[in-house]
Amino acid sequence: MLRFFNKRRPSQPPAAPAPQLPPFEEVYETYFDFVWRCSAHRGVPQSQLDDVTQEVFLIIHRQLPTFEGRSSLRTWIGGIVRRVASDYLKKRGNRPAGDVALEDDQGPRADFHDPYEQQASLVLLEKLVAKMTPAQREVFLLREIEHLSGSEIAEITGENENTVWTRLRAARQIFQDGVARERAREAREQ
Amino acid sequence: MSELDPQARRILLAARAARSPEATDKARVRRRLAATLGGAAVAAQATQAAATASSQTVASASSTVASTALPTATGGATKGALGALGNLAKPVLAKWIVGSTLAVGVGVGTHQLVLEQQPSTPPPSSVQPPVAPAPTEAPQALPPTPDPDPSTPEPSPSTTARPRRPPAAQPRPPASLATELALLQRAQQAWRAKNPTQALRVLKSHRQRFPASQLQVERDALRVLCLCEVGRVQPARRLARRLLQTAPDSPLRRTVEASCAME
Repeated sequence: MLRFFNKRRPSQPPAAPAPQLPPFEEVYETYFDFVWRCSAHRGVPQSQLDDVTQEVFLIIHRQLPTFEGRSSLRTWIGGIVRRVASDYLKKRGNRPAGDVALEDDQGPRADFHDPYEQQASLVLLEKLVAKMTPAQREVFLLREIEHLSGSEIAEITGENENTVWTRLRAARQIFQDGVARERAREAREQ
Repeated sequence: MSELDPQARRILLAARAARSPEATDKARVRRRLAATLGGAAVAAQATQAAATASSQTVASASSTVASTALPTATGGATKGALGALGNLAKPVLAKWIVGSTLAVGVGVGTHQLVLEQQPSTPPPSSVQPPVAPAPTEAPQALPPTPDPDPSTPEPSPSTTARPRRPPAAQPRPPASLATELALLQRAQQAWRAKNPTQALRVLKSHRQRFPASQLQVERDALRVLCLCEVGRVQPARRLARRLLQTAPDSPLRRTVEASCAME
């Protein structure tokens, strides 16, 4: 509903009909989780997520009336998060612990009631994505955590879609190898 | 294209769940946003969302606290439920230390823990918008309503404070108190040794053995700090909120307020 059309490159000519903009409340409701996780994956500390998320939605609120629909709303918001989080990290002088992520709740949703499993998985994820290059990490998280398409990732990162897939392949290999190593280590320790 | 195996996929799904905000997060940012925008449009939903989140928080607080879900080394049932993933990821959990540097001192003579926390980095006042278009007309007319709704989930300790939990009804033998103290000391030593996971295990054991402990405030304060250390900010916040309600005059109040739970 919120996706108007999905062009790969913003340089392409805009479509003629102006998109029907959803109200800000709907955008907030739909994309809050997306923005929150995006910021967290880019390395914004948990304690600062309120500030960064608020800043993103202030910008969305300000710019939504001028949104032209040249990209999907999700990739547009993803770009805003990317810039706000980067600005925050520059000011903070820290290196990001992880990188981007976006959401639409369209991916498979497991029912994880065990907070230990969640936390342990997050720790392991952080450990393994730290072995990736920043570009690989960004692509990996956008794809594997947030289930964005290759074209959406290309749009957000400003990269060629082939480059996106190449990075994703390498990142997956790093992640899978890391999982296998952890598994082997666990087996040795038991 | 190399694919991920089912276990790797499960790790990703669980990590995604861990990264996702809770209803209270959404309601809290909504209120802040409404205050900044002076928004009735946002605030109207904020009130509703806050009420929902508040009830969810109350409903889940006890269960969350009651099930710290940090399995002990031999936590059979929990370990079994976790399966291979829990075993796989556990070693790195202890290494995951976030937050500010903490220093703690224990007054062992009394059963008063004195915890001090160095102030963490103050939050940024605001992040400069990366794109600065000329302000356009707001999508909604937003009359100024500088929040705070009394039904918000952040209660005022001064008005909602309940009396501190009384000591156990029956006189506690000194040996019991000594055991309690020893357990808390162990937890605190683990925390000082930068092993909050171990500290949480010990605290869980303490809670199971002494559910109506005289040292409940001290135990919970330390648990808040440990939860912060392992990055479990939301459970830390819930516990801190309850703690400050239960014991608003505790000397540990400032420590809890300086933790990640109140940022």
